[in-house]
Amino acid sequence: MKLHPTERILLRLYGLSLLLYPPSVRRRFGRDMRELFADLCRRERSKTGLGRLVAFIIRSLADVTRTALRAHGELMLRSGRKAWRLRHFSRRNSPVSNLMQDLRFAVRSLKRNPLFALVAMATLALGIGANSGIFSVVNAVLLKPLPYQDPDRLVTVWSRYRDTGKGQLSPSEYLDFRDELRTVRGLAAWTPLTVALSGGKTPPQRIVGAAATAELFPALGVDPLLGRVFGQEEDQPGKDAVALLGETIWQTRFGGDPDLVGKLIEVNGIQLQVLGILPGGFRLTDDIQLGRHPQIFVPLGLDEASIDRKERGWHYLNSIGRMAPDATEDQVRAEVQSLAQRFNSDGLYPPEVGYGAFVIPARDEAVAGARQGLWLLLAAVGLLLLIACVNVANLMLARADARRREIAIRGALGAGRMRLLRQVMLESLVLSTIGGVAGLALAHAFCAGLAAWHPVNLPRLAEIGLDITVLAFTLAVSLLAGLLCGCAPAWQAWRPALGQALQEGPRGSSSGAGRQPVRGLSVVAQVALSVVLVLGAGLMLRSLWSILGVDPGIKTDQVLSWRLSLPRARYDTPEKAIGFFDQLREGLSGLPGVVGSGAVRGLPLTGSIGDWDFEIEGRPLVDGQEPQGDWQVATPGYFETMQVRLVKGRFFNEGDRADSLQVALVNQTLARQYWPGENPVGKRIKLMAGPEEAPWATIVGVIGDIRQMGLGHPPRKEFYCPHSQFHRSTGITVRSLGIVVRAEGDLESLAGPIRQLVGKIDPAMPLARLRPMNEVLSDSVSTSRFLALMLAAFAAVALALAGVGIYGLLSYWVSRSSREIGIRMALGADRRRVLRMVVGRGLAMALLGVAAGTVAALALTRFIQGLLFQVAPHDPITFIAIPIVMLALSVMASYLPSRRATGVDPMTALRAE
Amino acid sequence: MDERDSISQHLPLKPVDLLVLMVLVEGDLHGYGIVKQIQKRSSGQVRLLPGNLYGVIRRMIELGWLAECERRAVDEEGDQRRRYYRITEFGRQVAAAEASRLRQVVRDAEVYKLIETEQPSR
Repeated sequence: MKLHPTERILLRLYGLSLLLYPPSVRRRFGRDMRELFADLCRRERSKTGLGRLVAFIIRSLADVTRTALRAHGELMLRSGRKAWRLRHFSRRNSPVSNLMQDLRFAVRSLKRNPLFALVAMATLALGIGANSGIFSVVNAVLLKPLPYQDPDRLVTVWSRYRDTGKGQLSPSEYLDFRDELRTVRGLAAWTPLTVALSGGKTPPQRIVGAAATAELFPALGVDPLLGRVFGQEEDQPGKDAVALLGETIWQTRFGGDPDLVGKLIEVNGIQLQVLGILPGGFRLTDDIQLGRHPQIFVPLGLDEASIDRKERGWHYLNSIGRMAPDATEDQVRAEVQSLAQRFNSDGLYPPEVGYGAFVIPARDEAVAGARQGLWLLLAAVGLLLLIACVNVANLMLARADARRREIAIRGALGAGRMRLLRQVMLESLVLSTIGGVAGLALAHAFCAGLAAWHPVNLPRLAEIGLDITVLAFTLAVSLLAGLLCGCAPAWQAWRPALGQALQEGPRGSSSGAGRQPVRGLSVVAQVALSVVLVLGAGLMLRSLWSILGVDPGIKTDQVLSWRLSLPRARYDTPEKAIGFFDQLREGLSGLPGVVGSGAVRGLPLTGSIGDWDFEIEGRPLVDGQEPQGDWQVATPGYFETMQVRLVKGRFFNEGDRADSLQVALVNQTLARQYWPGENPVGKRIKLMAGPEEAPWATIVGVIGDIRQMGLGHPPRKEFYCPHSQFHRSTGITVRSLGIVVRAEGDLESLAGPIRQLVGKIDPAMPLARLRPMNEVLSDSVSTSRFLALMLAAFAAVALALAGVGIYGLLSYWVSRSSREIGIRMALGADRRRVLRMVVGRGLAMALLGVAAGTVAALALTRFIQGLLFQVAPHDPITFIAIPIVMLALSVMASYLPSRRATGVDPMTALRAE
Repeated sequence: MDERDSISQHLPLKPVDLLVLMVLVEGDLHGYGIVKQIQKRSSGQVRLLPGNLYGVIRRMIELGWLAECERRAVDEEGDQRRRYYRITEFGRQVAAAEASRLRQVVRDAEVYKLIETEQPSR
């Protein structure tokens, strides 16, 4: 019968635990017991959950310990106490009881030296804890499979343009890919949406979700909890008044009513029939990426018959599909590419746009953006653990030196080399195991902190925690750390110069010959590793600094923002929508403390908003080279509220009505591109694809650039139309706007009055969370900040450990060399000379370490280039400043021991011999 | 010491010993089979873990109540060979003696009206 990998590990573990039995018992029953354990394990797993399995394993291990003890007891009784003692304490006894004896000895000797044990354990706990903590994030975000059936076979298809890069699909592109791809079965598409759920006694509520094609659920292999998903028959215009709800909203708003399926709910003022309930964790790739919890899914209802396959504009669809059973990722890539080439050769795209299409596996798409930073953090904590191990190894070497006589005596009494070596290794493993347990506690605190404080926008943040994978990882890291720490001291135990150690007398020789190079080298390594880590952190901090130095183009202090979407059903004409926002602004200006308010289609710093082609009066249109810019719609008051810079002309004002002169604003980037060296004010533009009678809009002002995509992204070309006029240019009514309010005093206290005001204008209008713009600004840099601060924290620990390493080695050296120093001073060396000698030693080690670390960092930092903003991976300032800081730190760390050296009294030092 | 004495010195048996002996009276079983049978007999109340079970088996083999059989294939999983255990004649006598002792205990309890006499069902 095939064994599950987990079971194989458990079985191995159980087999190890059988070592506790007396060998005779183990030989006779060990195999049977393992077989029985495997059978029981398989049964527990098939029947019950993980918790039960864990409980079963703990019970089994306790059972082994208890019965093994009893078996030993019985044997002992049988063979008589004296014989037992002889057998267990003589040299030729069983390996297991030797091991137990050594283990007890290790624990005892650690207890004798509690300060050493504590420092070593704390150091290892920090190193291991940092690793477990970061690994649990990596595990949740990057390693756990997506919540779909066989998620590794899912791919997403994207468009690409020379200027804008990765882009969503247009309906015609989607249909072409869906119909023609042979290597992907049933490509599905969706677009995210936000709706108001109203009706019933509960107040209206804004929820997010998606409008999707019928292929979506079969492609993902997701089944509803209740009812059914929608099929092709509902995914058509006119028949699509159905919806699927998420488990969360079903529980919270509808009390988990099982009869909800088949009933009608009110969404954006329209009645939709509930077809089914989806499981709570169901999310699409973009939801995972953005940390959204979608609660409603409706049919996209593409009208395939009326879609002009030659019209390739309007890119708003995400896609996902399952690879055909025999297809590979490379085959899908090749097919998508060749299809894109065919579109191009069919003349569907002007060659200038450089159209292409490409494939991203769903697992990569869902965590895009987080991957590189997380691997970087994992590498950083790996370095930190190495540093911690070197540090502990050094401590152990120092201790082993002090115990040379003890070890030599044990050797002289007949303890074999293997036995001595094992003794050292066991001590190190005991330290690292306890360190690992403490580290696990640290990691748990770290995960709880991440979940509570949300310091960063990470996909799948909610899934972060300690699970069996993290436990296994921590165990492995702890064992590895124990072995690493034990290596150097074990090597030393391997070659004990017995006679010499015994001759030296209790204080040891002055030089500790043969050991200093090892320990010196380990300090050099520690410094080098820290330099790499600190240089990485330095670059990330510099990068964060330059991001934070970017002018967003708005003033975010004292501004509150939220999003409001009007349901199409009740606001069916442009006049009603405009009326609502007019009324809202009028009401807002009457609230206490409010100094300004306005609304805009896409709030700054929140992401891309899409572009629109336009025509400039008096310039011929060249196909495929139409002027274009990101399109914004704003109300009067918006620019003043955000304190946007006015470069030329004027902002919008209350005089810009639907029937007055059509106006527009452009930003500096757009003005520079289309009117270089000219004044755009007074020029006229017309949006493409609008109605025949659409009027020309006169540019009345130029405004400063605003960072729309976030501080780290360059500003894009933008133009603004007044909300009151936009429908005349395009025939489209914008019903969803971001509202901003600037107020004096406490922003929090405005929430209540704003809620009342909105409720008074439209009682059925849900209100999303009000967010201070400062928070929006801070969220937009959260990833950079998180990475930089985490790295800085790790680097600080590394620096401290390196400093302690230098300090420890030199202090030790000074105490061992007091005789040499005494002689020198007796022969006339003055204090300064002695000081220079000690500091010189420290500095020499530090210089070697800094040089090695800097060279390594020069080679390594290019891997983080993608994470840096306006900082070169070989940034000279960082690469000069940090080595200097490191050297200064090592001088400080060496100065303290050197002070002690000058305090040596020559007479005392010499007399001690 | 005659056989009767050697049996009575082991009484009373531990409940788990009696259970193991009883399920083996029906036929030879391997470890997992014993665990399954006992769990079934006790309606899921008694769940033996490997250390415990093989502790009991080891002791009973030493006392001569059980014997090991050859390893043989398990019916449903033909690729694996398990060690089976068989009850010895002596083991059967010990188990029977314990059962009789328990019957006497029950009768005494009825005499003292601790429990009601169970009417034999027709």
